[in-house]
Amino acid sequence: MRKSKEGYRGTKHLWLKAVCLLLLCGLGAFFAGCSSRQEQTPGTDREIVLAAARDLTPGSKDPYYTSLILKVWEPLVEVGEDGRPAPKLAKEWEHSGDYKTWTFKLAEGVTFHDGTPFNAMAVVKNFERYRIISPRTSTFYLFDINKIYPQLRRVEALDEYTVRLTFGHPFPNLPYSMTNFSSPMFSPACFDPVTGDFGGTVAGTGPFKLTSHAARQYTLLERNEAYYGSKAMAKTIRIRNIPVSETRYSALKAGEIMGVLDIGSLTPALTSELIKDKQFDVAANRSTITHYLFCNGEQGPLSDSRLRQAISLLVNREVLVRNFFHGYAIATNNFLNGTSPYSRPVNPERNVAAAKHLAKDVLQSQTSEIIFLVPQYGIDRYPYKEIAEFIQAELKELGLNARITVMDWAAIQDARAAGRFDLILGTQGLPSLEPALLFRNYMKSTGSANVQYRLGYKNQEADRLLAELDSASEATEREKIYDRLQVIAREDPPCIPLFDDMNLAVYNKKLENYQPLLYGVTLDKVRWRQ
Amino acid sequence: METISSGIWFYIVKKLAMVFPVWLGISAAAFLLGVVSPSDPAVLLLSMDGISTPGAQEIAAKRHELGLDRSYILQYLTWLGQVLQGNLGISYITRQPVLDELLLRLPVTVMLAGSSLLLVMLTGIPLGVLMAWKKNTGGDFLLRAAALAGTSLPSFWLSVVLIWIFAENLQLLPSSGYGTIPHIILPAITLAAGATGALMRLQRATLLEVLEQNYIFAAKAKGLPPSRIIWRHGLPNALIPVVTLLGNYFGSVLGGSAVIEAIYSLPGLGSYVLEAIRGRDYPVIQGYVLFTGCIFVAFNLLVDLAYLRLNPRIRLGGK
Repeated sequence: MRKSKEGYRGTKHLWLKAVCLLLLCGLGAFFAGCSSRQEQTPGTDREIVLAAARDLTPGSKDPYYTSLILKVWEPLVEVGEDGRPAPKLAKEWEHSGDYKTWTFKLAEGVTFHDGTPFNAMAVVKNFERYRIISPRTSTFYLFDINKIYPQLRRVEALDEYTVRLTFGHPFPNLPYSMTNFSSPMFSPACFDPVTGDFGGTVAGTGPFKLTSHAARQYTLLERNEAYYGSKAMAKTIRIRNIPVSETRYSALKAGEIMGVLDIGSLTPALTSELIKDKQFDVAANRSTITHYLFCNGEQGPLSDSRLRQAISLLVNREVLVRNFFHGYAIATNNFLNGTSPYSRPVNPERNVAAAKHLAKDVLQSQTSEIIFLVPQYGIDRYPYKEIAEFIQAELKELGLNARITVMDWAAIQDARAAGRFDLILGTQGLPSLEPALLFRNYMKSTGSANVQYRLGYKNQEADRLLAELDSASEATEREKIYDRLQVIAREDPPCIPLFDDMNLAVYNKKLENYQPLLYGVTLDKVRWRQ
Repeated sequence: METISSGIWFYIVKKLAMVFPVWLGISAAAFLLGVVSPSDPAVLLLSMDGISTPGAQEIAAKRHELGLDRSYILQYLTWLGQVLQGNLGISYITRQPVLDELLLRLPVTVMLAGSSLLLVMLTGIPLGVLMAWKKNTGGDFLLRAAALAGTSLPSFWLSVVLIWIFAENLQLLPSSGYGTIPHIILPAITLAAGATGALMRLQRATLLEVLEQNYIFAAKAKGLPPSRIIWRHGLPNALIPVVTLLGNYFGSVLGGSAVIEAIYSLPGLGSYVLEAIRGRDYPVIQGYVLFTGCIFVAFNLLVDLAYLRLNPRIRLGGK
């Protein structure tokens, strides 16, 4: 009896010890959590925390150090609200009659964040850096001076605020080519003149200074009090890197971040879900990204352009946009993204009967098995799985039995290079406002995308027009060519456009002036709601 | 005494000597990964902005720049030569030295792995002991069910639920990020859940086995209190499989917390290598495999040494 009593006491003691230990751990976690949580409560100069899916500051080896959307650095020429080139650090420009010489007048009284004056010599030094680093890869835009400024012969400082670029070939659309990421200006003191790499941190001319950066964690921005234009509204902004979109959603709901920005900021489904909560709002703007179906034009049934045309006529783009993108996309059958000033979109025609007729001609009432590849990034950022399944069901009507395979992008590139595909759902961004490169890549018989992606596209008229484009020096002449190329791409598509993406700025209503731009958001205007 | 000490050193040296061929094997496996995995890093690099479509000449130039146009053997030997000099190469994507990048991220992963290991030990061992002591009672069944749930629930699901409860609704803990102790709590719990369940079950089973031994009956016959019997006589003898599990767990967490790190936005080794895999950043993948492989081997060595401390009956070098 005595023994069992002891046993009981011992057991009770053991339980008590364990429970106390667990309680202590729990309480420790609880108080630690409560005490250090950073609340995002309004206050005029209080830090604003936003988040992006990727680290927007790749650092010293990147051609740009940090993304344009953080407004730390500025280009010579930016994209205006009308989608055309607009002055930024270059206030005005003029060209010679043969479009071989361009003269740029620079903004005066501008200084870089490190105090170095912005002038013609700074521009020349930046162009020297362009030559050194080209081609330099980046998660933003690959920088290659030979593509952005083809046949650039000389860059000269004519006086303190005038720069002249001389080309070996007429370049009528130079301002279109040099927008945003194509003409970044950094203080010559912040990069190595031999390697082109940045030294400590970046010094631009923008409304924000980059004060600190922790790789894959955050970038801290501080208002540039010496900014030559309208100063930024917010004193400090922290851009956190939260790669998973569901976590960004949770961070918004928890009040840890006040908004999201950059590509794939929040999926359309999560955006729709979030704005059911009255604390949040969303603003949308056009984006330079278009979603396409890329076809294997070298082999298989889709090598027949009539079948590609049939798919384009069959796909119900309105349903894709409404049901899967929750309205945050613009249905299109135009090859050129709608943000380009040269884009000539027409309402996408859906004609099931014509599509079936074309497919019947090609397939002779037989069915064909096709491989439909879907990239993983499209599932992370967009509702690609649902879209692919919807298209798969639609293709059956044409006699095409699609087998969907989800792969990571690298594996898709490999399958594409080997020709092991029929259809790929994917995106293509607009490289610059000058669409010549995009047309050449996709529609020229020897175009890099045409060859690499096995589009097998061959259109004699397109080849002829693209050859004419090389010598077309008048802007109107080029515009006509672009117009015609878009018509050709609709009739004989190199790939099938589905819809243009939209840039979504999802934010907590504690902020104001948080609006999406063509690229990025109005970071310099955003502030706590008064 | 001196014999035992020299025996330990002999044991350590022998183990270390065995480590080198393992490391060489790991390095070859790491390198082979790059060779057999699909796609061309040069193409991926040149099109990583999602906009550029490189031509054949550009691809060839990039392949040359990266040294990918050389034979595999030459590539491997060059890489191995660099590794022996403490240079794991340069990342294709960030252009930074791989070793620097790994060392930058290591503290985050070590912090996460250490926290979850602590959690596993503080909960798994006591609860396993309790289960053994309360064998086949209501409490035991409840804890067994909890252990089963812990091992069965996918960590990504658990993380979503934890974020929903503690970040979104209660707003007690941050949903993501790194820098303070609260940032580590949810990831550590998520990471610890599965191992805690496994440890509870293992601890229960081994302790029950030990409690059937004659020396335990002798202790009971002497009238020692049950808590003393368990903590002094039962538990130390039931710890060897537990230590093995914990050692392997810590090693695997160091190398396999990628999903948790990605969900909670922790800038650790796992999330770093995930990005590298997506971009086919071979120097990073190879460096990571080698790095974590070494850590794993080192931990196994530590576990082996812990055996000696825990159970003197284990003889050094099979003596």
